[in-house]
Amino acid sequence: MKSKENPYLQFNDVIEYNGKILFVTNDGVYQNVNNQLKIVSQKENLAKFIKVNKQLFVWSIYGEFYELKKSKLIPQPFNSLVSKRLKNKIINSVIYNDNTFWISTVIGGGIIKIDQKNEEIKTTELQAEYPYYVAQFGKEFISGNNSNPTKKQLAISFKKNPFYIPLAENLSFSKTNVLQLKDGTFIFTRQYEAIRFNSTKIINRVFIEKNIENIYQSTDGKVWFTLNSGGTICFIDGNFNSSSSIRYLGNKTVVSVTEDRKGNMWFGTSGSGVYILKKAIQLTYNPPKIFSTTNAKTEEIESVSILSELPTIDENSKVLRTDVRKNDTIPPVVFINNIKINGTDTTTLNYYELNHNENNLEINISGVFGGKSELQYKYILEGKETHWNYTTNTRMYYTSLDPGNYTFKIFAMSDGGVWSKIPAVITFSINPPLYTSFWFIFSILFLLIAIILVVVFIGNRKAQKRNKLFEEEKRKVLISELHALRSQMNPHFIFNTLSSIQSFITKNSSKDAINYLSKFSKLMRGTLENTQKQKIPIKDEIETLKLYMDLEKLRLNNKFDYNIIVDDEIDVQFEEIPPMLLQPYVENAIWHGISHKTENGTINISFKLENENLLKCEIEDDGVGRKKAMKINKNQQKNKSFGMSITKERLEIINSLKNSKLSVSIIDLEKNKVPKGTRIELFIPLD
Amino acid sequence: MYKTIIVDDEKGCRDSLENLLKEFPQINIVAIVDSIALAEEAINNLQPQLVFLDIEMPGGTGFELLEKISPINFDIIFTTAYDQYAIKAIKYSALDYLLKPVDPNELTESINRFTSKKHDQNLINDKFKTLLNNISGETTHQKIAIPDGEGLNFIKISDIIRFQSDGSYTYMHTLGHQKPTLISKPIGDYQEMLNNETFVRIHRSHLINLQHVSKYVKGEGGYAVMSDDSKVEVSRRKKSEFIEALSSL
Repeated sequence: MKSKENPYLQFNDVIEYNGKILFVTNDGVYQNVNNQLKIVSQKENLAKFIKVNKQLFVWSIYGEFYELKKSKLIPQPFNSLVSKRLKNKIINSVIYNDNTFWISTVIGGGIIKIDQKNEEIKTTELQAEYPYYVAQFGKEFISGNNSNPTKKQLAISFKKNPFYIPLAENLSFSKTNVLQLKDGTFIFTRQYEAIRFNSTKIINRVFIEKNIENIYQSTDGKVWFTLNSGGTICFIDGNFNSSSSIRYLGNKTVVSVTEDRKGNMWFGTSGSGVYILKKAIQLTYNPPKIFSTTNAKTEEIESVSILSELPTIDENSKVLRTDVRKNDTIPPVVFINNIKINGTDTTTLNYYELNHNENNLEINISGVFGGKSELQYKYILEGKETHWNYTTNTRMYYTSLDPGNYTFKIFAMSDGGVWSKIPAVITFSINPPLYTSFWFIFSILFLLIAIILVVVFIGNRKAQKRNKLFEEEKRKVLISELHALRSQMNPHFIFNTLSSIQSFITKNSSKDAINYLSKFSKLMRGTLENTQKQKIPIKDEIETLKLYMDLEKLRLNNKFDYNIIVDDEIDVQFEEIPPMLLQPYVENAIWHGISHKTENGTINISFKLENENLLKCEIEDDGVGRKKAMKINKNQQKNKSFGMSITKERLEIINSLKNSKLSVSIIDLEKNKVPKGTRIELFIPLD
Repeated sequence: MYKTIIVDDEKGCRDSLENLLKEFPQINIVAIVDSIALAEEAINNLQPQLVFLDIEMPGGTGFELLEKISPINFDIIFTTAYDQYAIKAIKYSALDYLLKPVDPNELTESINRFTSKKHDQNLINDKFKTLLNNISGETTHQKIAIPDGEGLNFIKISDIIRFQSDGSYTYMHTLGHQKPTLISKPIGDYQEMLNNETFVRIHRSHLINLQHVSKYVKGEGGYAVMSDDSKVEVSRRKKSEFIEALSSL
């Protein structure tokens, strides 16, 4: 049953009053009318009902009391006084006894007494310094206190006989419940622990795997625990026999429970509506129904019997059971019997190193204790769990454990609440599988490297592109420089040659004039054409050289002869070399070697294949040699050979342009230590 | 005696050529003119057998004169100082030319060629047709005169796939012809002549038209597969030049 308006109501309390089922919710008081939730009166922070004689009161956690009368919540006159005394503390419990409301708070600080008869409000210590709960038992009431919060014990103080109950966990301020059962014993619950006791001793104790929200005993004697995220659990009686327990409502958070006059059980949840468990009319099995107002559909829940014949143990139930044991002061001892890995027995060791697929463990333990009673255990698997588990089972299962390091610890506890001094411990590590440790990492690394390489590659490509552009620019500049260098080659040759031709004309030797003029024009034309090209056939270079030397011969009055020898191997049309490469050396040979010589000279030019890809050009003169030439030049204050320096630059440019290894060597020729001329060896790669 | 006309706009050139031609008694200069208009008139009136025709003239090029005269039943020796484009066109057409200043030796050779050859009107017509085509037409329609045993064939340059040398002879492979044409000239002549076209001498034996390269297979030098599926070896040394030329196509 859920509210249409507010489907996430928290049903803090449920009560049957004058034949009506009423609920205290976080939104106010609601009523069940024909399985529909209807709001009675709206008010926030309401906690519980409390019956005072025939009146019904509701109180809020902040100390406001209301009487529910004719569907109205009438605030009580003492409310402001209570609030003042609470000082923002939250109420844990309220009882009414002897015309007085007794109010305890969650964090203690005394009991607030509201005496209706005398109209006075007091804060009383009530036999304990820090009471944090108060409960009524018949004509008596009890309070518990926490004299030392760091101690794992609870002081139970009846009016006359106080005694102490050891607790599983340190006390911290949290919600508690106290309930007196029909047999006169009491149940105290706090967090996941429930302790049954009478006025002198602990009778038994139970650990539930979820925090206990509320406890209730129905008319048939059954004890109901409602749990946080654990539904509700029903024991046949206060002995908490796990074999006779049954669970309902899955893992819903059930905060309130009550029984109506027909024996139906009502459960209020936090945000999941209200459930009713109908009592079987006949003494036969009758499955209970849950009804919800939001839809007419009824929902089957687990089979239930409120008859004496109870169903067998619920596998999902982790309810534990203990029996009474008197004077339990000797701590039990726990040890590990056996460990099964993937269902196979192993030699029990303290330490295991397991493969990634050996990750299903069954741990069998034994607890040794002086008495016959069953021990309770708490255990933890460090590395996986952060909280202790409580059980009476002696087998623990862990399946599909992830790779990692684990420590299993287990303590045993006797009924008297005495824990074993030392735990049984096993440590084990499950190695990661090879694929995660090696191949996986390897492939990730590989991928990373690949990505980096790709990025670098792209970067390089861009850089290369940039470089290429740069190179292209550089190349253009170099080519233009090259052109400039070539066109600088000839000026004084040009004009001196023209002067020589002029001399023929003045001497009326027109045939010679015409002959040399056409040679000159051919040389000019050839130079012009060749220098526009990067490479020319050797044939063309030779042609130009011949014309040049013919004209120089003319200028020097036939002072020298020349021979040009080309190896038969060389296809002079096919093989190509940079244009006008040899001319400066020839010019040098003529003007620095032979011109200073008194007798006639010879220039020998040869083309040979040094190897398949390397052409060797030799320009040899039998002139005066470099030393003497330099001396003469110095005396005559002549400029150094124009063409030579240009040629050196050209060689460098061509080399950087073509990435080739054009080289030149100059050899001073001697005969009997007398200079006999110069040989230039020019090596030109043919590609 | 051959009736000869000299056409040139520059006095120096006219006089020089006139003087040089005095050495050739078989040449009878009937007119020396300095413009196309006068040349046309002189040709029509004098019916010469030989004309020395300057290409660059202010009133129009020598080629324009050819368009005005039909039929051209005389031989022409073009003269030019420097005009690469014109020279190329003339060479393709297998016509004769002289560079200025005129080399007397070359003049002699030209005169000898002129006097020794048979006057074939059809051939002359073909040559001039080709010349005019090459001058005016687009590059793709350029033709080149290829001599065969009988005379000259005028082949579209774009149809030439490749030349392959065979000693001092050359085989020419052309589009649509299974059998190559044997030319009695060395391959270098065509390399020289087609220097400015899309021809590359990729091997001592091979001059190929880059337009007809359908594939290049890498190797030490590798080889080119031509449009007629023939494979042509690329010399290792010419590989980079070839690839560069191919990629700048």
